[in-house]
Amino acid sequence: MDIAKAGRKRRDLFLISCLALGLMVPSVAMAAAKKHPREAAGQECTECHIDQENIWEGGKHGLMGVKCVVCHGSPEKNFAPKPALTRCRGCHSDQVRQVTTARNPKERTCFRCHDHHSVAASEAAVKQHSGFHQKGGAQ
Amino acid sequence: MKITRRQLMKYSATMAAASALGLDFSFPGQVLGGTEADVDLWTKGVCRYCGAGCGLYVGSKGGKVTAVKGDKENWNKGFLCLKGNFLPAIMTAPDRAKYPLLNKNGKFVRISWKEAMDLMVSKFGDAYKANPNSVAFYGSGQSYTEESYVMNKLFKGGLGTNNIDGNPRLCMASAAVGYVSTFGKDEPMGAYDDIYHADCFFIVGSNMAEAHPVIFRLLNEQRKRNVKIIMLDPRKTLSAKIADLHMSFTAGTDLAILNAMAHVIVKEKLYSTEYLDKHLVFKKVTDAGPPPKIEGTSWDDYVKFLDEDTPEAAEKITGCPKEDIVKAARWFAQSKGTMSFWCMGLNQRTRGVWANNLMHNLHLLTGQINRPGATSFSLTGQPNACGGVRDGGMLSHLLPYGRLVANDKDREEMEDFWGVPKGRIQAKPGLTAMEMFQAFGKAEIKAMWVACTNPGQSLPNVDAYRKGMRRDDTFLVVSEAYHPTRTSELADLVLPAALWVEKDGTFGQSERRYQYVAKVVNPPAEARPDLDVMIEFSRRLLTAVGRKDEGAKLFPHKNSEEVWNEIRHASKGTAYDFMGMTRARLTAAHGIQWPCPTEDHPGTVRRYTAKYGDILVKQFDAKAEDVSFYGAKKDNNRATVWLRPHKGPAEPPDAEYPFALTTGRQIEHWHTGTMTLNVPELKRSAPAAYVEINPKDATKLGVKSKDKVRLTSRRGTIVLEAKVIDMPREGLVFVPMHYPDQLINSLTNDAFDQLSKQPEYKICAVKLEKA
Repeated sequence: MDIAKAGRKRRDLFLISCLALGLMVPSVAMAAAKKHPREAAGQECTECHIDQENIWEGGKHGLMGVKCVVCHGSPEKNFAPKPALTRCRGCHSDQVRQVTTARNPKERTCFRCHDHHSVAASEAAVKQHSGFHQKGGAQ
Repeated sequence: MKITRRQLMKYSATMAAASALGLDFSFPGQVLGGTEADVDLWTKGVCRYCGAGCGLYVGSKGGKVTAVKGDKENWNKGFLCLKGNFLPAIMTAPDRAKYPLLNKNGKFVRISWKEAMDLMVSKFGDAYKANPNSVAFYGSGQSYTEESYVMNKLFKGGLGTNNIDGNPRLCMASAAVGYVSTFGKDEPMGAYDDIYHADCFFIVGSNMAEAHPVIFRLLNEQRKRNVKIIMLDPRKTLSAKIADLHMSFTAGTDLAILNAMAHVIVKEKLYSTEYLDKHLVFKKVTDAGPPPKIEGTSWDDYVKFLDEDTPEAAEKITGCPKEDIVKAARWFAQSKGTMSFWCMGLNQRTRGVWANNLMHNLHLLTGQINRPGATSFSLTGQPNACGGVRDGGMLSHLLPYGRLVANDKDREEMEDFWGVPKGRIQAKPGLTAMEMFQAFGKAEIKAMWVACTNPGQSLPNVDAYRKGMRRDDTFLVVSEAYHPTRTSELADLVLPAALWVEKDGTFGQSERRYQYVAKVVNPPAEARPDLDVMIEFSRRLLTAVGRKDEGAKLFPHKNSEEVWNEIRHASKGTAYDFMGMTRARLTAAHGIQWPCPTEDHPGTVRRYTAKYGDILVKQFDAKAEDVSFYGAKKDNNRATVWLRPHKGPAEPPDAEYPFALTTGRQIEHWHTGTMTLNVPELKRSAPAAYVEINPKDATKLGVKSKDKVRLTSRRGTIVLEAKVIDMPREGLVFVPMHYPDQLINSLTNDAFDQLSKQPEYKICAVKLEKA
């Protein structure tokens, strides 16, 4: 193997590693806070997001009181429109680990199978990914 | 065990600083390496909030708590509640107390720890020398077991005064006296494990969905098994969403429902004759006293006592349909296993002990007890009310591990154990929480130390007591992790306290499960672990009052593990026996349930039944075949069915104050909000108090949601935003209790149960007007 070829291979490996890390690290790191699109001080989330609230209330998180701020933070302090998976880790650490280490980068999100607000797994997802968590993740 | 270089350096520095004080701090408990970007290390611990005692791992990085995750090997199966998820934010709040502060003419001035300790010793010493009963300590169900034990030993053993009480007097005293008067010893006999076996749940005065969400989750999971859930509450809480039968009633009349259920059980012969014959005695009070005169009685007398408590009569008193009472009684008695839960709705009442006795009566009559899924279970509000205060005996009438100050043998045992002269421990119980603050307000108590609790916000009729806490001729010390709080603002001296995993110690929660909480990070600035401060103070105060030798002898402890080992020996041979719960075992395990008498004992899931694993049955009652209430020796190891009539609240609504006010929790917040209102997400989700009003009442008052409403009781007044909602029944209004700038306790009633001395937060009379 000539030096230039070896160098290219090392560079390729480095780039692949960066890409992999780039996909993985943000998925487990805290998402940077963003500005809420409009002033919301003094308002309840449900005043504008009633549809999401209705779906949430019908799901497990609704019954168990896992409220908007767990995933989305506070609009005034640390608003996260697309929550990082660290937000799920408090109760679902194994599942988060399984998702973030899935072989297929497209599968490194909970919401491919679970609805954002009801958090129920769709029928199609259950059919396609049956036993993903039971089998410990990566398939 | 993986320890990072940073961790090693941090603990080396901590230990060097501590050794200068003659103390050391334990190395972290069971730890895991971190794999996430925001976590270097995961350390096993327990949630800081309620008495459910959820196991968790604390993630840390750079000397900060950065994350938490549920411990899936613990009873909570890896789940945490809404506020548990946000625990890291409480550690770095901007109002953390960092330095000792002296109140000089209303202005807090930073002083050194030496100055603070000199002043404390001088003030307590002078007061004590003038009158040993003029000093007091008011502790907490949030302090570690070791902290409460040291203060109990100082006051009762070292100083010989019983003026030491704690905030569990405000939340759990009626449950404790209920357990002792019915079964002989305190604490539930069952466990969360019973939830998996019960097929009927009877829940009274508990909004589990918000106050104990992870237990509520476990309960909800059981609905897959087609269980029955009965809920008694005058407010249709979020918990009632999963109820098969929600029984609403006029607030304060639930004793009539419980007796009517017993009436149905007797009339329809749903009781267990075998259990009655083998395990029960009957008692009634013939003279209310004090002290009350108690008389043994019979099954026939009990049947006669219940004769008039028909469902029809109960419906008239309570407004609860008689059909529901009959249905509830049948479900309760006829299920394969019935588990009952209750909380502050029963305990915070002037008839709290009676209500607790009536709950136990239903289990005893039907034999729904002493087997998996059949048990009566009191839920607890604080993480260590059971462990540190009830079990440890840090109430003014108790001594450690089931002993009483009024019992000669118990006092002698503790005097021998502590190595203090005979007669040192007073036989007369000390002042209970409310009596203590009344005495402080009259300057009969001259020096008081309040640690890890916030009575300036949490006492009922709080304005009256706040005045008493701000006198010029008394001395109030407050140990707090935050400043200002509504109590620390009244203090003469504020001591900055380490919080949660900034120190180590032991928590004991609702199901007798003890868990070790390891130290993970250092406290901020000059904040110190309370245990460290308490030991130093104890040594110095005893010296100051002329008991120098005792200071060193009674408090030789260098760390919490040495205190824990002494505690284990104090429990040895009692019905609590902790001998097998060594620090090493607690560090490795995900909680151990007492009794646990030997190091190879796995802990006890169910007490009072040999068949299901309580080895103390044979130790205390060799002849028992299976069930023995071995704490009730005087009653031949039998439990007591009490004849307790219905009696309503001290202050029912009337023409002038026509509404009943009840207070309670929101899922976002905990107690007085010093921790949770520091979490931006939780404050965002629940920013302020409000008053829930039934839509029919709102129409009569001409009030709609968001209108300002003035609530007035005989003690105080407050203006709140209205929330018109079909949750409280007509005639009842609800206000959450957490907010320091909206003191709902200005209105609540400080009348208390004469048996438990627990006040009646849950019901008082108010009037409402549009503000």
